[in-house]
Amino acid sequence: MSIPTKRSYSATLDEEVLEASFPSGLRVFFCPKQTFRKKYACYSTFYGSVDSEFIEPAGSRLKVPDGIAHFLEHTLFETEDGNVSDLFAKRGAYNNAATSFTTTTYLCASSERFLENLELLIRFVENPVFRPDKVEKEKGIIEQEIKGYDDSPGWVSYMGLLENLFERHPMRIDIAGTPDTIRNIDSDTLHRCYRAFYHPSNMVLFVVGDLESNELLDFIAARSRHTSGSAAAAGPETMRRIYPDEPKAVHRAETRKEMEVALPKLLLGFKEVGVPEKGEDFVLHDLASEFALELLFGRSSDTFRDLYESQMALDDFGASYGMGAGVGFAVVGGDTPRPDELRQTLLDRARTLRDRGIAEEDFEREKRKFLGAFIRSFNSLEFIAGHYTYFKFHDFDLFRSVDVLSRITKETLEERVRTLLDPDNFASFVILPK
Amino acid sequence: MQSAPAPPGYTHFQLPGDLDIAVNSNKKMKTVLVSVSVIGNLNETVTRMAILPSILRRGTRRHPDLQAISRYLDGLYGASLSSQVFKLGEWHLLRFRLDVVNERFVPGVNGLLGNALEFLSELMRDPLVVEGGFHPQYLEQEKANQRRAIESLLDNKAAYAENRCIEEMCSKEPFHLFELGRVEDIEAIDAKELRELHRRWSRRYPVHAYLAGDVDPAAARDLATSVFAGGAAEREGGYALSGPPSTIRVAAPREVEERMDVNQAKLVLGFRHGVTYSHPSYEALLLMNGILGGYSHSKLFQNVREKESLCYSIHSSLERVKGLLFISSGIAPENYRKAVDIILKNVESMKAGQITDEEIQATILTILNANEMLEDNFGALADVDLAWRLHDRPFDLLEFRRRLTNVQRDEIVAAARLLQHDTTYLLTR
Repeated sequence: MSIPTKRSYSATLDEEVLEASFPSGLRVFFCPKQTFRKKYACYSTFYGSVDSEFIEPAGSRLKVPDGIAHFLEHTLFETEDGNVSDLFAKRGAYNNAATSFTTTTYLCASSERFLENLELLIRFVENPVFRPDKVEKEKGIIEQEIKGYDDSPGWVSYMGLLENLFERHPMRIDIAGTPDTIRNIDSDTLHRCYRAFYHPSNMVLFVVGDLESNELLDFIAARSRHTSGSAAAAGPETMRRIYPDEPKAVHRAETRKEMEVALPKLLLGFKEVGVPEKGEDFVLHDLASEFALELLFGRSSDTFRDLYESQMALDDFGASYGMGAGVGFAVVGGDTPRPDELRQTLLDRARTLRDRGIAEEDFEREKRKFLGAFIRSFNSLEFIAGHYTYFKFHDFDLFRSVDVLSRITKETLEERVRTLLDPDNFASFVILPK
Repeated sequence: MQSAPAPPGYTHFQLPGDLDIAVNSNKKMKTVLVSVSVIGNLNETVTRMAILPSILRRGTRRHPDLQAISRYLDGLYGASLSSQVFKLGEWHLLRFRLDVVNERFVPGVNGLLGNALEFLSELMRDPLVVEGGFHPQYLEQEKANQRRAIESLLDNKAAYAENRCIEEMCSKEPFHLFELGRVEDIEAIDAKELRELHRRWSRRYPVHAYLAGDVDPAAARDLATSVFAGGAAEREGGYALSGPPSTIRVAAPREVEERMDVNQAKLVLGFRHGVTYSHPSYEALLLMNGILGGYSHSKLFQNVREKESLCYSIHSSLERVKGLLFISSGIAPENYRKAVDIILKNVESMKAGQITDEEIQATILTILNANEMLEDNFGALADVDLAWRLHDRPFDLLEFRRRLTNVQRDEIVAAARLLQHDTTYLLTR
């Protein structure tokens, strides 16, 4: 049997990806990487911490406790044959999982006996076990995990800033939840979330490495329950996500928190609502925002030079853009001896940078840098699998990012700066040493 | 074993003046990686050596400030520059890395690699000098930054606890020095003296330069040679690198407790074993550590985390130059005694030979897989090559895998019996 595939090729990267779609809605991708010893697979669902309220396939509306997507990730590791990590470890394979704002990913890697590991990956993701006693036991482990994050100034300030930026949108929810919210999680709710979001049509399996494509796809088709059946059987509209209306204004201007740290930390944030959720618009918005922030605050910028030379910013200073579920946010900052002065300086800069525009020379130089960084990332099998999947969830082919990059103009970025960096609508989070 | 192609390695070219150039040509990478390590002894120069990469990255003669450097690298299609300061046993290494896109992927562009190599050499050897010393203002700023970098170890409680355990455990050995140096040394660093140290460093300290990518090996070797030995007259070599560190017998284990306002307590147990890369028991030691706490199938993870829910994280890790082992865990403060008891019980069970065939097989497979996947990561491969080379162990991955697969249970037990519990460190509230 040969499963029909679509081929996507990038001449810039000299890479190809084959796609097989199954009637159930599951999409399987394969990127051949001859000569590599590592083989890597990730099985992902377009489901993360922002999916906190939804209408179930059966039709009822459900609001779930914070941290449940991450809890579900932990739950899937407990199978009838024991903990999945043990099973992978017994074969010498590497495996892990991660929950983000919008996705949950299960992955494995090995050089030897890869297909056996892939089979295990498919089996445990597709065959969850919901046992109340296991769920109770997991609460202790996750609580310790949360307490570890609570001691990390980087994570505390990042999540704290999002809480300040967003009033209702679930982007403000800590991915792992809190000890209080996870206490309310039970096996029934976990099961309902699984049914809603682990439907084949909401999932992508990506494999990369030195493998034979027909053999691989046949193998997957024979082992994955998700390749059989049709999406229509489960209802084409399997679940519907509900996001509250988020006001344009930030929720809270500032929070200050004392922690056991050596140096204060300032994160300054700007928010956007109504940002694109799919396709080229999504990618263009994402890339242009990152590009604009790099021009304004990156290591080659005048702002970074001035802040570093006046010792207001240190080596870790930087800016990044995050987006998902219709909202976006820019985060600027880092460790600083003078957090209030840094915030004021950044806001003043935001004002002038909005008016000043971008120099042609800077634009061209940074564009070369972005292209180089994009090419470099294809050294990594994990990057290829992870980012290709992430973009597919947003109906876009990662390979086409280069085209989007080439379409970004100086004017695109100037517009991005004006919209994003509103000096009258910002929030900050400050960490001070005890 | 199935017939996989021979593992990649680096071809070495030894040049006068303690300069070693190693080249690997491969089809896997879309970039060319240049990794240059300069080695010295871990001693009272630690703080001054540690500040060198920071001050060198502030400006060169041709690119006199941070922005000029950053913009030059952006123009080379975002060549990525990093520097690292770390300990390898009681050696102190400064490592500079430059990763530049292979120009095959950017049509119409020529000379990227040559420019990148020239720049790296310039960065390491030709700093901005004012009146015979480093730029005084840059130096004062980097001194302040270094002080902060040392102090902010505190922000990562797990790393802080591991370092504190080392400080306590090795207080009478050079190994107790933190790789970034000591806060109390910083004030006295002088621009001219530091520049003198830098001159000695760049002329005399042994240099190991690794280059990997889809390049013609001979051309890459010639290019790297001309760049790094360019100032051949400048290279003197002859730095006296110390031998392997000595081992110490532990009289009795000690306990150190430190209080801080933390949510999760950090527990670190330090042991000595004395096994290094060139030791006949090296492979047995790797297996012993893997079975004890290196992986998620390990005894510690299974018994402390899974069975008892006593912690979120627990692992053991090896120091393979001085011969140490650390067990680190994040626990609830009230579980301290219980956690220590269970951890030590697991160590004792290893010494008593309570190791199953299944545990051995799983750990062999895990290490084999990781070792094979190393073949795709040329930066890591260079690091392993260097560590072995410094121990006069020939870099032969196939031989390593053969030895690993043939380790017997009694050799693992013997490796476990080398463990001497030295220090228990607890960071708690």
